[in-house]
Amino acid sequence: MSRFNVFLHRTGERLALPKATRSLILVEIASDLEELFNHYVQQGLSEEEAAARAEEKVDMSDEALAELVRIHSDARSWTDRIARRVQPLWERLALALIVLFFVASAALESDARPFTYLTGFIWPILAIFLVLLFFFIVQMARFSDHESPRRLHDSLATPLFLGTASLVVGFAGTGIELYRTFKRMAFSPEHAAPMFSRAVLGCTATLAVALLVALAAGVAWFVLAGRVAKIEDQAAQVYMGVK
Amino acid sequence: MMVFPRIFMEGGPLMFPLVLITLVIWGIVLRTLWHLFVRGGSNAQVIQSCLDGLLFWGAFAVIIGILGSAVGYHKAMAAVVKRGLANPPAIWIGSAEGLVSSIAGLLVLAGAGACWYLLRWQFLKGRHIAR
Repeated sequence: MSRFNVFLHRTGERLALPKATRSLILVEIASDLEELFNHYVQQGLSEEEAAARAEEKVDMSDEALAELVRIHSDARSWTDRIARRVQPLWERLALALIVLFFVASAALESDARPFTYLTGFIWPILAIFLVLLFFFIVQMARFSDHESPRRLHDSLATPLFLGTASLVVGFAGTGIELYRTFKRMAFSPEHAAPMFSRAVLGCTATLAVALLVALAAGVAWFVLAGRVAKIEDQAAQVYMGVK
Repeated sequence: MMVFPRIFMEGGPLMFPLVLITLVIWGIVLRTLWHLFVRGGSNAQVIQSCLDGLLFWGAFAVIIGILGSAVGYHKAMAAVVKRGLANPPAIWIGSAEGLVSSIAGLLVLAGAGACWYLLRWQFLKGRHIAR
């Protein structure tokens, strides 16, 4: 329960918007109010005074609300809209089946030879995967700690960034590796064929791992985005539920 | 008639997630059509959500297609390293897997993109009429 529930409820009633957009705006305002409240408490004001001052300070004029609505509806990015989209059960089930397919394929694959051909670019890709894994675990822990919904929302860009980074390293690594190989082939044409086939083997193996990491990042983002949207809706329901 | 199953099998195991994604895309298209034509397009939020979903799953299909490509070419090159060019069927199996899966991924994206465009156009047209 926020100490600003009455204020947020009044503001929410002025927002004639779809539920998802309204939740996002209310969470945004609640977060600003909490920051101002903490600032005034640190300056020595009592809790009541700090709360009253924070409410005064947050501009909720019609113009300011209209601007917030504009930012959160028209100018919302594609990733933000996807994050906020309702994820029906059958879509989540399909994603779970795809993840299961990859896990089962990896478990049943007894041949470890592809990994012997990996290029040096596998190390940054593995580092990206470890960061992604760490980030996902930390985020899941933050969900249970009732972290500020806005902070959780802001951190959603991280898995997308890591997935893109993995793709960039994978494709750039392939290009660099092939460049080096072609150069070596030019200087020793008698070994050109085995050099080329080994380079392609290494590049495809590394690229496959990079793509798998990107897919894992996409799945992590899909799961986290669904959870964040749920938390934001719950927070907004609490704000709207108190008269 | 047996051409499509044969091509499908040539695409390797990654064709299965691509089929699943295609089914999901069909589900989203049917859901959007239901909201647009049966319910008169009144629930704009759900329709927008469906349209965004089409792009999400289309992008997912392309990445799986490219992954299939990398795996297929890897198999082809592994055959070359093992026995040189003395085993063309093995090289063909890997190359076919690489080509078919990436083409299938791109076709799924193209289909999802076309559905997105047409449904979005219908959605926006409905909104203009309502205004």
